[in-house]
Amino acid sequence: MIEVKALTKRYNDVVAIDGVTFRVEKGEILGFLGPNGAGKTTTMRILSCFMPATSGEATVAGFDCFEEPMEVKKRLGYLPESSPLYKDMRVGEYLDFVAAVKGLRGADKRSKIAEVMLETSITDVEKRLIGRLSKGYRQRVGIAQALLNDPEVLILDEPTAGLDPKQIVEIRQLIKNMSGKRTVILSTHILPEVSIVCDRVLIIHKGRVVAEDTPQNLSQRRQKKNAVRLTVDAPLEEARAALLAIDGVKEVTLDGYAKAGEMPLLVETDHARDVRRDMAAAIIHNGWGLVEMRQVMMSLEEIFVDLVTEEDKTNVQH
Amino acid sequence: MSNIRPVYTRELRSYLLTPIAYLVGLIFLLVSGVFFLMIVLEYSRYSFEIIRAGSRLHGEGLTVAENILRPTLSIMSFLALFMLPMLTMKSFSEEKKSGTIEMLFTYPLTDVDIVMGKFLASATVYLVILGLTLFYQAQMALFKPPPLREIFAGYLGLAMLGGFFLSVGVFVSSLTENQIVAGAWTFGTNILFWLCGWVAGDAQSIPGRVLRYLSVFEHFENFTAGVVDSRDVVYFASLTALFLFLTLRTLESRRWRS
Repeated sequence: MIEVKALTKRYNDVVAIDGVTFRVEKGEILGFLGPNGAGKTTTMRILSCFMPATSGEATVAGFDCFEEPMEVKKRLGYLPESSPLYKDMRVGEYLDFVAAVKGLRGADKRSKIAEVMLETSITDVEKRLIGRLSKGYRQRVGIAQALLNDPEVLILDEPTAGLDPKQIVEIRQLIKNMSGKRTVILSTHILPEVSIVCDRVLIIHKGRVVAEDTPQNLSQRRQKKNAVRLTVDAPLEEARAALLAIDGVKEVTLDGYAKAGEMPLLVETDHARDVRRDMAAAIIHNGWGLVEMRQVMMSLEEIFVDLVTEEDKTNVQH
Repeated sequence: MSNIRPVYTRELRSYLLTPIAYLVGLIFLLVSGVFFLMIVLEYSRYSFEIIRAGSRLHGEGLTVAENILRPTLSIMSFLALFMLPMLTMKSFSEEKKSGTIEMLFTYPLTDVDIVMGKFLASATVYLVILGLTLFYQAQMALFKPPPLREIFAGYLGLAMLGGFFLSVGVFVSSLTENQIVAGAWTFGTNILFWLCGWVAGDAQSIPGRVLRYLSVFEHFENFTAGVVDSRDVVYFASLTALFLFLTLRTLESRRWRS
């Protein structure tokens, strides 16, 4: 449904994206994951025909974004970052305008607007001024306008940015419901978001695709770091000695501040063995209290660093 | 298929919802109304004097067209020069600033749809204001048969003059995201076009003739005299088209500036 080949965009001397290549199949939800300034918005703006690439190819629904932008625009719904809407219009008026722009007329237009408002649950704010809506509602109006032409492809730039947790859950659910029906690309810099919503993840860093993966693999990658965070009710030195005696434990350090009955430790282990069961056994054997034990997850930044260094290594090898 | 209408309707609605159009209309009507009143009072005082003096001229040479309509038209052309930049200064600037332009450009609309929708909406507001000023001339019709030909020529001139100012405004607005800057530049450009004939004076040199040809003032003068000259019509129409075309090029430039 979407095909991007060696897409590059330069702003004067700054390279925003550099040779981005990927495919999205029909009905798939693809997540763009990357820190701010990674090139997510640039890629989306090119796909939505807002601006051209410096070089490379982008095809949406079988039409080239540069050769036939009008055909692409007809088949596309796009919500830019922070959903810029006309604040002085009422929700109903605004959707009426967008529907007309997208070529709907008369009864078709009215029924489509009603349908989309229902889908995004904004029927109750139809008469309200957009400028007076909460961010969550505004975001939904933004998604509603993108849906009016029944697009084959939906592009959403940071659809959950700046929302409160409840609104985030609602928007995610809304997007997830489209799975299978529409091809969706969404961008985010929140790691768990992609695992909840997306079928596939594209990690972009400094304008390049550094990894393409399923959310499951990504989560496993997150746990790759061999460290366990442990809080025990035990004296520091004795606990350290007991833990170091376990096969596979390399180092035990104090991680944070010790409180009464809570000794936070960071246990680094070998690649090969999962030592959590042995540690639990050792603690119980010594009669100490086990307050907390969890595998240390990598932060998004660490994953990027991890991926980027991996890529650098392969580059050196070639 | 042309898709100007939804853009036009939205722009017009936006004019009705924000105070700018009302403010421009109010000032335009108020100032032109006050001047019209003064012109009429002066006219009647002068005609009284002529009658009282028992002049043989008997008010000859005093006509509604020449002594009431014409100065009123001049005042209104000045008002257009000052007020119209306010109508167009937001047309692209505001959308650039708020980011709504990004959505507009990704809808299935051509640049022509967008530019013409915006231009025609501002022109509609202006024409409505102009239409309201016809009320002054209608009042005069109570006393004397109205000089219909001159009124038609004069208002056609005002409409074309306004169309030109608005096209300049739309163009300048497409260059900046700051409304005040857009307004100021539009006003400056309009004044340049207005005054360039005065700079030239009577010079018969080629630059002098070019400057006089470019002058808005020279071409508008003919309309106020009740003369619809195809050269003046062509002048306004082509300049308006030129600035709308330049706007299209500006919008297009985002596609090749990479």
